[in-house]
Amino acid sequence: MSVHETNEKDVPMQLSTFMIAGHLYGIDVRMVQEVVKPMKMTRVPLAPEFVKGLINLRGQLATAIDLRYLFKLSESEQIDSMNVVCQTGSSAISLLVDEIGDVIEIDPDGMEPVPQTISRDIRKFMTGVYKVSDTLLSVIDLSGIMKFINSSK
Amino acid sequence: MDLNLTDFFDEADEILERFYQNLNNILNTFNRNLSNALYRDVHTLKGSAGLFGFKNIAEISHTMESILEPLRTGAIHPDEQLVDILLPGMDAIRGICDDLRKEEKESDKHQVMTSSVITAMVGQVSDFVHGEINPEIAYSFSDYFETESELKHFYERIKNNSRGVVSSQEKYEEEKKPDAIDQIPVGDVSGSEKDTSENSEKGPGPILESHIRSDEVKDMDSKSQISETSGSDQRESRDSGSQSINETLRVPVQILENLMNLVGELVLVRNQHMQYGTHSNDSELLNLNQRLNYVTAELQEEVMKTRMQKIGSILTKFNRVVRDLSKSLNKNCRLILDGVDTELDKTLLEAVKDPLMHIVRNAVDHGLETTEERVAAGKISEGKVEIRAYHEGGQVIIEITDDGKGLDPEKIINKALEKGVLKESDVEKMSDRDVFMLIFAPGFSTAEKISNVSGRGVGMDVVKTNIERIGGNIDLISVKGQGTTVKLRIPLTLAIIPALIVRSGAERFSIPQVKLVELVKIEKDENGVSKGIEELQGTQVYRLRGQLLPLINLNQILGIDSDGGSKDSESIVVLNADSGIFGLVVEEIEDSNDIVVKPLMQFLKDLSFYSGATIMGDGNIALTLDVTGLAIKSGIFSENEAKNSHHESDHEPSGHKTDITEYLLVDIGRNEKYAIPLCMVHRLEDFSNDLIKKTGEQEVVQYRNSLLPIFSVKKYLSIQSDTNEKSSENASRSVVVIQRSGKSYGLEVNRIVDVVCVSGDINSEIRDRKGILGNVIIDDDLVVVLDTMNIIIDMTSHFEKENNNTKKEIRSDRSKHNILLAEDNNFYRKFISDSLTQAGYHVFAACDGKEALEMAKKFPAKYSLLVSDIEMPEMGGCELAMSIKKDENITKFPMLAVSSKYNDKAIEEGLESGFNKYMEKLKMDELLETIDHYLNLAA
Repeated sequence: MSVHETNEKDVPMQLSTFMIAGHLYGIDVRMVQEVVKPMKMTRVPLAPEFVKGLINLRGQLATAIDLRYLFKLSESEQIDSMNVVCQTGSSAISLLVDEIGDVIEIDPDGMEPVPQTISRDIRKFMTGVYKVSDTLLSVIDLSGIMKFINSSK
Repeated sequence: MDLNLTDFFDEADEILERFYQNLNNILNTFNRNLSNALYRDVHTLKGSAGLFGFKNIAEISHTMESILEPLRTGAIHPDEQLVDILLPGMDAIRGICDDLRKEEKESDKHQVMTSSVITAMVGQVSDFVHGEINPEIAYSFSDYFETESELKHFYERIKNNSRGVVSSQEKYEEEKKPDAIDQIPVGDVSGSEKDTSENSEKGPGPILESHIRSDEVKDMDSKSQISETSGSDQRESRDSGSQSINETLRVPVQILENLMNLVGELVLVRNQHMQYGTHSNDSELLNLNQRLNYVTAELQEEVMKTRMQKIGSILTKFNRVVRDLSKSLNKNCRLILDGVDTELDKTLLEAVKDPLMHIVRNAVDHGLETTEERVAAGKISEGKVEIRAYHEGGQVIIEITDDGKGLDPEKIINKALEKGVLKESDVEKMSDRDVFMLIFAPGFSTAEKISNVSGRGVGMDVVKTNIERIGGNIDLISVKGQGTTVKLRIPLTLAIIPALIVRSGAERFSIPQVKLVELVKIEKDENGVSKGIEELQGTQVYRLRGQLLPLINLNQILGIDSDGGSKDSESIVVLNADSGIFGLVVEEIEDSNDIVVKPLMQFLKDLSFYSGATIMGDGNIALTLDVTGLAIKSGIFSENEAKNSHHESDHEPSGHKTDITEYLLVDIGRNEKYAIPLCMVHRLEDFSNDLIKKTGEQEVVQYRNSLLPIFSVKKYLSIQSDTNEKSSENASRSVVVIQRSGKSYGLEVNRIVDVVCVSGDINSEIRDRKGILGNVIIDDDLVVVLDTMNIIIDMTSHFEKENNNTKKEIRSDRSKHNILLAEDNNFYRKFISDSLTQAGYHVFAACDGKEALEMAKKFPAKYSLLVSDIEMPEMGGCELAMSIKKDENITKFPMLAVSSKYNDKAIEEGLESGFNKYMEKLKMDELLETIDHYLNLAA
């Protein structure tokens, strides 16, 4: 189910990290097409709530996904979110985040499963948790997100 | 090797295609080039099949070649029987080819198939020759041979040939070296070919130098007895077989598709660049912009062209289908193709192929009667299926018409009730058109007997879905006893579509232009309430020319907040969803634009409000509205459906185009109904009372930078006002704007009611008053048709003093001239004829080019001038002009074309065919002036 399960264990994994509502998240860097500055968004009326709109990525359409909504975090006061653009199949999605962090290298062995105490609704978007020096990093499972998006109406 | 194999299949496909086509053509117009082409193609096929070791194909084509040999030498003439003999052979080859694509090897199955086909073909030939089965056919066949011995010889040869090939099979397999293989297929039979002298000089070996290049074939041709048409270049003769292969290149479709996408992107960049340029004063930038714009447009057009294919490439296949089908059903049927050169995007062409096939099969199977039934019904025994393809308004229209028994509404209703497609309670509300549309409902088939041809219940609904999938739509018109027409509207291309851009709140949306019917602007009153929009059971409706139009408010349905109150008007976009028309209320209409629709992610598409999104010139995104989805989601057609589709059917011209006239129904007061021919109407306006001013006695209104005089039709016709009429209370007045010689005039009526289509003549015998053209029957009501031109002339005459003296002189001069008028439309014919007669000319009218030509031939020196429409049945205007020019007996006279088809290409075509001048229809003053000019009567 997860893209990371196919990884060879001894190869270090690179994560592109970002902050949402003060929490640190990471996603496999190979999934990320690019990171772009806040873009003008076109609202899609009647679309599910997690869809913030469409952005024009140099002539390509990307659907902007509100991770705050998916992770049930509080609404942001910040208006301009950064876009982490990921290519999935034939279309592009943009994950909206508050702040972009570094690309870090982690040892996949050090990753721990998501604690059971976290609601299933949120757990399905995560591959695991990784302990960095002073905080915890949640690794995002893009395929889980895609699965959720495509089953929603 | 694989690559070569692909080449073989490509070539085989091409040959088979051309062969079918030529076989059809040769029946219609026999010429030597065609028979040579047929022979050559089979020969080439035989050669290349031999090269690849496909012995079955080689054998079949060899037999066919032998059968074609006498045709090529001119010993026999092609006829139906010959075609019947050859077709199974070609079909077998096609079948084998199809299998080979998968398996790459011939199997035993093919062996069996081959020998049975060859036996059948040889057998048939022998039947003809010996007359064992049908003496009549044999007799006709024997006509082709001069002597009996020749005929026998023909048969023997074919027999020998086929046997020869069969016995050569083993060698085939043993020796695989190309040059060895080459020799074999005909090696054994070369003896029998010798006396035909085809290759007597060369001997057996070179006959099948099998990679058969065209030049080698040519070589053979030139050496054979048949002399090519003298002096004809061999390349030419090759081309004449069918389309030219020279200077073309096979390109994988994928590359073209990529090209198309890239051009789409380029168009977007161009749009954005143009937008950016408008903010700049840099003349260099603007200059570059202009060139970029120009080049992009050209590029887009050219790339589009690469994907365009003539529709003929699929239509000609139907010759075969109709032929086989009518034979198996024992019907007599002719297929007429029109507009085979019409071009359509390749992917769309592929997509319409199957639906078209289905419709054509249906027409032959269900539509046409058997020969006996036709005779009993007093029709000619031969049924007719016609496929017409043409461009109209950025779409390709394909009409499939049969002259069969037509659809029986009763039968359809019963069937639909039986199948549960229809509820009993709905029957009453349905118009004929609604009933006909039922055959597109899933699981519906009217065939009483289920035949193997059609009627398996998977039918028209699939056709409809497929057509709609590519953005087209389907319509059906049927007259019982006279036939059925299925009309397909297909967009030219999918990639770039014209769209209307509308705005609601801060968002912009695009609506595909094909769905658009009309736009209505609505003023708001002081309270921000839109005038004319009424509430009905919680839904909004609008009275559009007397019909209720259900409305959807875009803001409401999409939940867009807007400060809509700030604007003083909004617009209704009248859209055509499949189930009927409805109005979409938007805040503003911005623009129309060519857009590239980009797909949305599936879960957004599933909302069924949007079909995609496009990037606008300014880089912003506009969602493309899914019109059908909107209508369904808003539930607008649950109750109003029947009513609306009826409304639509009023607008739908049916049956025979030529005698349909559209009328604007107006209310003038009193119970009588009045109508104005729609072609006369320039615009419809509502003027509020305070705008209307008086100069002296004449009422005028300021209109588009000039003054529009307003005449009351009621006053002109001296109609008494009803006592309970409320015209004085009305805040605004309805005015029909008519243009005459460049000036606008307004005719005031009480109310504009509707637009209706009427087939049939104006009855002009009862004209009790001035200003009336006659009467027509609309929905069993007698309607008086107003002669707007005369009303205007009469009303203006008292303030526009005309120079009566010169007029009289011209009149008497005019009366010396006879004018020949060719016009198929009843209304126009009458109108032009009346106007010219009134001006003093003698007019002789004909309904089409053919009749006009006959009239001109009968009295070669009678007419001084021709006025002709361009598009007419039987014989069009251009053909008429050319025929008159060619006919030496007819005294030459000036010829004027009048047509509503008024564009550069049409004009050029018209002038080329001999017209002195090409004019736009219904500009009577200009026409009269021109006629005077050409007859040297100018004042």
